[in-house]
This record gives sequence, structure tokens and C-alpha cells, in this order.
Amino acid sequence: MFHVKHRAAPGAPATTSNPSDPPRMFHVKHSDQADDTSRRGMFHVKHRSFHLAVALLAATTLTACTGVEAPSGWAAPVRAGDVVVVRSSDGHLNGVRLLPNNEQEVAWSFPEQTESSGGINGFIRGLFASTSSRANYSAIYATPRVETVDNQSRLYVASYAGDVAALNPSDGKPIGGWPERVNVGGHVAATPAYDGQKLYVGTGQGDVRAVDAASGSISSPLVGTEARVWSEPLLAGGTLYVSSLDRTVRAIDPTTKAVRWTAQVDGAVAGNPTLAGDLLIVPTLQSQVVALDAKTGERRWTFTGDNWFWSRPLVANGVAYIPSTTGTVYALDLATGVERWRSTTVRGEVRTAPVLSGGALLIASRKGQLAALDPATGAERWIRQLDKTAFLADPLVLESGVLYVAENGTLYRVTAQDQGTVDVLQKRGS
Amino acid sequence: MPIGAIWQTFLETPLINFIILLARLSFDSYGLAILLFTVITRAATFPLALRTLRSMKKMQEISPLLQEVQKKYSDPRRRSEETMRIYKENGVNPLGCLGPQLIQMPIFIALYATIRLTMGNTPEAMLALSSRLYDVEYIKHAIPLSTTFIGMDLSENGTLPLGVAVFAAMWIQQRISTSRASAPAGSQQAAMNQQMQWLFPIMFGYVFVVTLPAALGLYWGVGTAISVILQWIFVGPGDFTWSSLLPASLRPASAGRSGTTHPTAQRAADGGDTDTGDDDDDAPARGGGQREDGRGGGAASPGAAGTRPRPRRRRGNPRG
Repeated sequence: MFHVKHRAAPGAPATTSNPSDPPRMFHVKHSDQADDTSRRGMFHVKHRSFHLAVALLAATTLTACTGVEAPSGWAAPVRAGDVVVVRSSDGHLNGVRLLPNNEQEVAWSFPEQTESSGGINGFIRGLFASTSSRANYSAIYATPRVETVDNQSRLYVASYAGDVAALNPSDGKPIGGWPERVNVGGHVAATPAYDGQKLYVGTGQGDVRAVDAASGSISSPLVGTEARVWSEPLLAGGTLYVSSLDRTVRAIDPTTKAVRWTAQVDGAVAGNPTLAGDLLIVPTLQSQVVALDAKTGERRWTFTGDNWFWSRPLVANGVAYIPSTTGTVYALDLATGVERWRSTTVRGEVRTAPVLSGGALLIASRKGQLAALDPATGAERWIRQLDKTAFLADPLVLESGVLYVAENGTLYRVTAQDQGTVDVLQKRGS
Repeated sequence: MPIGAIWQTFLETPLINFIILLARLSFDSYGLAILLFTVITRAATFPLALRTLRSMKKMQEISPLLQEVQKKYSDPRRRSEETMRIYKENGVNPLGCLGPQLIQMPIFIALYATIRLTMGNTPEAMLALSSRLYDVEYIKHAIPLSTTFIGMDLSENGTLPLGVAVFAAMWIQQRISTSRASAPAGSQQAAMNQQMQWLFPIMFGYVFVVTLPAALGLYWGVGTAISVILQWIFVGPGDFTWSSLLPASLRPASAGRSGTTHPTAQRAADGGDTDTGDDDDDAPARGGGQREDGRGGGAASPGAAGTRPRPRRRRGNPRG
């Protein structure tokens, strides 16, 4: 392509290239300049290679500087047998054993890291990743599900690329008989629901697909929304509640695909709703929290906060606790939606779900803040600022404390009592 | 205030809110907002672009003189001196088009960042957007924007037709920018132009469009198309003709002539054969010119558009 060959002028002495010369890329051959060929060719080679390098550098720099934020995932940790499955900094899932003395040990990793994902090879693979026919588990938002199927414990993993895997929780290896690739045909950013036989997976294509938990076969779409499904489908009482970015909540019969009701909630729904009795509490990007009647879809109350609501509301003792993306934490009366208190202690977007532990309400923000609030009054008990840390994944409440996984893959164990402790779980031997 | 915060506060964030406002005004269509955004930003940077175009035009005008220098002098130092003299006499700064381009670079990088953020194609990107929006209900509640546009999902990777369209727009832009008259035939620059004419469109058509969300490709394609139009109006198409896109056998006999040959260039072509017989320097230049005019690669075809037979040389340069 870049070989430029100039023919000899009439009358000029014909020259032939030396067959022993190694082939040179971008070689410019001046066959009428026999004496000068080598020097000039080299000069041209250098010059053109330079321009080619500049062009490539410009393209890659622009791509890197201005490209699109790559999805990294915020899958929450989950307990699976004797390990806790956590998302690592490179987007993989690790089966981690928690050890005494704030140590951890990686028992397995999924997918197995057989190839380097860094350097030029990683970059080139990244360029062509979109056209790859292989399953892609590079970013995982959905919390893995641990379910028992055919008397066998299985760990179901759904990646952002739409690939669904069934793993053995003890070693992280794919279950035998599961197809090599199960892809639901759209990005998956929410944890699937499970009814004992099927996984209900919301996709970026705006539909929900049922995946047979035993065989991996995929059904036709259960429901077609007009926008991405980024919030977790909720299954309760034989009804599947599907919220999507088209500002709509739908209640569906998963067996007949019949839509039981549809409710408009004004704002896009990206966060996970919570079912509390007969109320479906829905966080929206309209800066509102909407409570719907789970049976009819009728709106019971609406609360307007100071910014988007993206985290899953926590309901306890007749109160719904929900933080906004400004960091303001609200406590709302579950029956009426009336604000009981608000706390502006935390800074930064809060996407993680609040949890109650040790008598405190724990909040973690994208700006690396961890705070314990009094659940009755919202008063600050303690707050920690962790440098270069962002919390986006929901925490896991364990007997020994609350496990947070930061965006960079660091594991923190938090105890809320008294002045609180925040311990980093070090990898054994590190 | 750190430079990053200044960048965000005074450039990125206003642009983010502006494009979301445009989307709301465009019936919540992100695609229409990008089109409007592109037109407005190109209009805003037009004075800079015009300076670049004028500089390019001047360079094209003195190109025949530069070619003569290339032919006339084999001594690199003398060549350089003469080249600089021509630049000086004609009031041309060879780096004249670079300044405006450099000034525009931060703006365009901010524009890309704006598109990347407003698209909210990943959950992280959309979450990050929440802190970048002004506390104006009309803007804040526009999220998420509808990313479907003329059959494409702008948040997904660009489609092949979009990639081809961007490639075509960039190819034409490169072809006009690196008009045959603008670089001495057979020179390194001409050879480089020939490479760039294909390399950039292929790279951008693939890297920017097929591997990145279509919104960026749409912005890039529309922006390039606007640049081509501006360039065509203010500089002219150089020696590019639409018929040159046809295979040589299908081209009309008169095709291939420059549509806007500048008088200076014409004068140089008519009387510019001042060759001193320095064949070492001449032969490759002529050969290169002929190959390029053939556009099919390899040897020149006798009927190739734009090839002007010259009595003294078998392989004359059509532009002189």
C-alpha cells in the first residue's frame, strides 16, 4: 500500500534492486538513482514512518482523550459458600476468602486471565473487541446471583456485554453443560431476577429476557420498553416489576407476558426499586422518589429531593432511607413520603445502597466518603474520607462488618459501632 | 484553582449544559442536538478556520513557484533559501495555518468530552453527569436523552454506513487540502499527502466511528462535511474534480483539469519549464507527478485525466 515506485526515466540506466536486501516497509525506490537509492530510501522510510507514527499517535491520543468512558462495572460483592465474590480492579470477578487479621486470599478469578489485557496487545484487542465473537466479561454491573439448580449451587454472572455465565462457586469454573456463550443481545447493567427456574435479565435494548437457569436457553423478549433497562427487575408474588429509562414502571406476568399495569413516574429510573409491603419505592432521575401501589401501579406519594436518586432505597422501621446524587441523605415516612430528616454530611454522588449495621446508617459516596448516621435523627456519628477511592457498588453486610468494594478493587471492612473502623483487607503475602 | 477544575468549570460544563439545552429544544433528540451543536461550534470557530483556509490558499498559489525551486536547485541549502525567499516575498507564513489549528484544538477536545459525557452511554458516564448539570430543572430533567437517530443508536458503536460516510467526507477533505498543485510532484510532501489521503480517513472512519459510539462519528462526519464546504467556497477544490472519482476509461475527455487553476499556477505551468537538466532531481519528481495524476497507482495512463502531454518529456507533470 505504501510502496511507491518511481520508474526510470527513458535513457536512464536500468537498475535492479539487490535481492539480498531485506524487504522494507514504505520503501521508496528511485530506480534512476542507483547510487542514492539506499540513502534516500532510508530517509524516506524514516520520514514516512515518522508521519505514520504521528498520525497513529494523533488518532490514539484523540481516542484516549476524547473517547468514551469505558464501562468498568459496579457489581456488588456476594457471598457464595466459603468465598465472597467481588469485582476486581480490572473488571474480573474474584472468589475471595476472608482471613483473620484483615487479610484476604483470592481463591479463583473469572474469567481466567490467560492473556495480558494491558499494553499494546490489550489496546489492539480493545479496538476489535466490539467485533469479537467471544464472550466478554470485562465489565460487570449486575450483582452475581447464587442459586441452587438441580441440587447444585450455581453462581450466575451477567456481564455488561450481555453474556451470561453459570459458574461453580467453589472454583469459579463454568458449569458443565452450560453453552459456551449465552448472550441476551444487549448491555446488562442490572442484577437479574430469579424465580427458581429462570433468570430475568433486563437489557440495554429495552427488553427483559428470560434465561433458563438449567440449560441457558433464552426466551423471546418478555416486555419491550422504549429505553434501556438499568434497574433491577423485581420479582414478587408472581409479578415482575420492570423499571426503565423511559420513565415507566411496568408490572408483568412473567409466564404469560401480560402487562398488569404501567405507571409513568416522570423521571428515568436507573436505580433499583425496593418493594416494601404493598409499596414499590422507585428512585428516579427527576429528583423524585415515587411510591407506587404494587398491585395497581397507582401513585401513593411523591417526594422531591435536591438531585437525582440512583441508589436503592432502604426500608426499615417504617422509614425509607435514600441518598441523592448530591450526597444528601433523606429519611422519609414510608406511609406518607413526608421527610423526617435530611443529612448533608456526605459529599459526592451516592449510588451505593444505604445499609443499617451496628445501629447506624452507613452511606458511601463516589468521592470516597464513608459516613455513619443516626437512623433516628440523621446526626453524624462518624465520617471518613478515603483518598483516591470511589464507592459505587452496593455493600455486603456480614457478621464481621460491612464489606465495601471500591472502584479500584480495594476491599474495605467497616464496622459502624462507636467511632467506627474502616479496615483495608490486604491480599495475603502482599 | 487547578487547571483541571478551570477546564471543567469554564469550558466543559457550560458546553455540556448547552448541548443538553439544545437537545431539549430539538424535541429531546440527541442526534438533532449534535447537528445543531456542530453547526454552531463551526460557526463560532469560523474566524479561525477562515485564517487557516486563507493560509492554505496562499500556499496553493505559490505552489508552482516552489515546484520551480525544487526543480531548479539540487543544493538543499539553496533550495531552502529560495523557498524562504518566496515565502517572504509573498507574505506567506508556512506555519500560518498551524496557529489557528492549535488554538482550536482545546476547543475540539472539550467538544468531544462534552459529547462523551452527555451521551451517558455507560452507567458511570451518566452518574458523572449528575454533578455537571446546572441546577435548572429544564436541563436537569432532560436526562436521559433519546439517542436514537436516523435508525442508529448514537450510544452504540457507529455503523458501517456512518463509517463509510465519515471516510468519504474525510477523503474529499484530504484530497482538496492536499491538492496536487499544493506540493511539488514527486516530493516527499506529495508522497506523504498521498499516504495521508488514505490513512487518515481509514483511521478515523474506523477508530472514531466503528469502534466508538456513533454520536462521536456523527459529530466528526458533519463537522468534516462543513469543513469541506467552507474549504470549497473559500479556497476552491484545487485540481479535484468529481469526474476524477470515476475510472479513467469513464472520465470525459476534458475532465481532470483543475476547476480553479490559479493564474499564478497557470503562469508557472505555461512558462515554468526552467529545468537546468538536473536529471537526478527531476526524474523522480516527474515520475511522481505522473503516477499521482493517473490515480490508479503505478504508471500513468495516457488517457488519465489531467495529464497534459509535454513534447520534451514522456512523463510530463500536468501542473507544470
